[in-house]
Amino acid sequence: MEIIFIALKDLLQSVKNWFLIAFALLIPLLLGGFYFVAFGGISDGEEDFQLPETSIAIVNLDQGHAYLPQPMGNLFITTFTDASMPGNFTARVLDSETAGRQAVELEEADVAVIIPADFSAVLLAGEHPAAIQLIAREGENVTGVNVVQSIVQSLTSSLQTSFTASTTAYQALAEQGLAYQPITADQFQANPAEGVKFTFENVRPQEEQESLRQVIMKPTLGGMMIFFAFFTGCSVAMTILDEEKKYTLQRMFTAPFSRRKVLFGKSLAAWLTVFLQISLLLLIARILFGLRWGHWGLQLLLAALTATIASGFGVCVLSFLRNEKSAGVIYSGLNTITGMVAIAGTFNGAPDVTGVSLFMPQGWPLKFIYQMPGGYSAEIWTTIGVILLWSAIFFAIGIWQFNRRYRKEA
Amino acid sequence: MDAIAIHALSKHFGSLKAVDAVDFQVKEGEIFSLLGPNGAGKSTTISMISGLLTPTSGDVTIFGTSIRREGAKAQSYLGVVPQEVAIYEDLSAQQNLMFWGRLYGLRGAQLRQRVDEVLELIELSDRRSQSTGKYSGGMKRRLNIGIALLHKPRLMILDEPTVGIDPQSRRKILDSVKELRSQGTTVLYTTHYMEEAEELSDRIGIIDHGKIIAMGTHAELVRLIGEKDRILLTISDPDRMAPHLAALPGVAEVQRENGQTLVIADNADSLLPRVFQAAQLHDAHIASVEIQEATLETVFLHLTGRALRDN
Repeated sequence: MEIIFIALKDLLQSVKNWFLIAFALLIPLLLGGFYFVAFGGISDGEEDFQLPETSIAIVNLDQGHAYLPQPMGNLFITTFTDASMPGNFTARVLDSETAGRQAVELEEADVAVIIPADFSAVLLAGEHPAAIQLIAREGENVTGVNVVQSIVQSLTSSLQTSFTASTTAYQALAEQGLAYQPITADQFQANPAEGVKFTFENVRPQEEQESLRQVIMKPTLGGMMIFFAFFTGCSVAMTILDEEKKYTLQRMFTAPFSRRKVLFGKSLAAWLTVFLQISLLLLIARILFGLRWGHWGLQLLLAALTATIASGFGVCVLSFLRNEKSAGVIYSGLNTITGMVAIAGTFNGAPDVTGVSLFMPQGWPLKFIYQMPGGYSAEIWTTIGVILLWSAIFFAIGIWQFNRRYRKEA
Repeated sequence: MDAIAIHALSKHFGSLKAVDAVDFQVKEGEIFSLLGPNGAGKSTTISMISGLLTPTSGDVTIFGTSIRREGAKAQSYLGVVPQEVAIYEDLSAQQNLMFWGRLYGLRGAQLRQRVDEVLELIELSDRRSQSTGKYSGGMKRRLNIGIALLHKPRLMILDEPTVGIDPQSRRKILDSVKELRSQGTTVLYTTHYMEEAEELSDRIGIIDHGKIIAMGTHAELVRLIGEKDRILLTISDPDRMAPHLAALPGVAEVQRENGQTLVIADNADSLLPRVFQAAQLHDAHIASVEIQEATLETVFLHLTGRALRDN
């Protein structure tokens, strides 16, 4: 019980600490609000939002299939060159991957869409995935490229679903002894968009505009959340040094329970504070900015995992620092460096957290945010495992170091 | 049973012997003061008794329970008032007391009742909800003591609780310590103010350089060094009266000092009536009397060769 009493007392002190509240909640939300205004506005005035000028190079290498009147890759050319595409999207067709790549490198195109030679064959065989390559210059025209990516993914997914269903139906008919009729050119052309239909009106429909906002804002605000969560973890863990300076820690050590309970209580306080911080930020971002983070269970998991790794990091870092004044400077510097390295990709619109970001503790909760829309996938369980491993290491080092310090002084 | 029994207690920090083979006992229900200059080893001794520091050697038992072997049980008998004000200044007095009370095992109605009682005792009931950061130094000191009283400890340890506070708050603290004794609580009190030790203590241990150099009641300590009482008289015709006074039993010496007569005796209280009788008998008039008993300051000076306050 002592652990809980200590944690609740710290939580009460955190709630009374306006500086901590501003740092933990207001600043991430203000930054999120800034991005919200920059990418769509608070008034939901999507009509004011203009997609950037985006040039697309389409390379259709699709060889088609005997059953098909024409290669399915042609659909991408039709789509991107269709008159319904917004005026600031222009597409041209090139004949080789090299040409597509060059167009991007020479800045003649913002993105190249390469449709592989076996695209139709793979789709007809019901295999997954149908590999389409998108080539872009990193960090440039992120919004435009994301829209193109979204269109390609949507089109591919619809095509695959449609062909899987028709193949299954034809095979069932054949097993019943009925004639197996391959698809004809007339049938296909009569309804080429069946299951593949893609409409592109005005700028984008509401749902997809939201998706665009999600693409831009979620990683950014997510990055801010994680960045400041680690500050909160350190800040609450620093109350160990603060209590030592004010002699309340020593007073607790004269109470009839073990010192380890004091440290666990302080760690739990850090965990609870970060958990509340992330939960509130997720909720407020949902209400204010309409961000859909994913399944509520995953959101709770994100808050719990971030709280675990951030409080563990805080306890670990602070266990090596003795002086409260220097501790503030050191942990701020450390958090800023590791945090900025981890979240740098979010400002470039990177589709995932990779590379050096994953060497930073902040990188993994951020990766979790990227993976949340995919639900409880195998990848997300790996991320959970890594976060728990990092946390265990941090807590083990921190508690061991604090125990050593106070036992040594004892 | 002794409330505290200390056996060959030592604490070394590197080559520094902060406490060096200290032995003493505190009886249940008494006020025992550790008197010594700053750096003498008082706080280190207290820290070992309260379980904050582990002794380099030796042991402490609290009501028969070893602090080294059964730390939590021994600590449950204690109420510790640290020298520093150890309270949460961003919380109110009530929140502070509720928190510390819970840590000492108080719950529910019992906790609320004790918090009310302690707030009343330390005279902070009216300001129970105010943030303690806005309290005066004296109020913080009283709360610092109140926290230790919450669970009605059998043994209170007060480490220089009156340092840096105004005379009024100091008086309240000293009175509350006496009140504790009247309730049967054993008190271990450290101070470098000899007046406090003299006023409060049943017994006093004088500590210097980590060692107990003398121990006993005030009278025992004075006798220990052979120090005598001094009676300073303003008397008519002092030269004629000097031999009459010197002839009284118990008088060791009579001196002239700045126009006054100084009578040095074994016991001023028992001598004084005879001094007045002698003056009446020899037609002398006593205008003023000042008794200067041998103080702990004198004892400390005698034992260490330096004054308490010089340290």
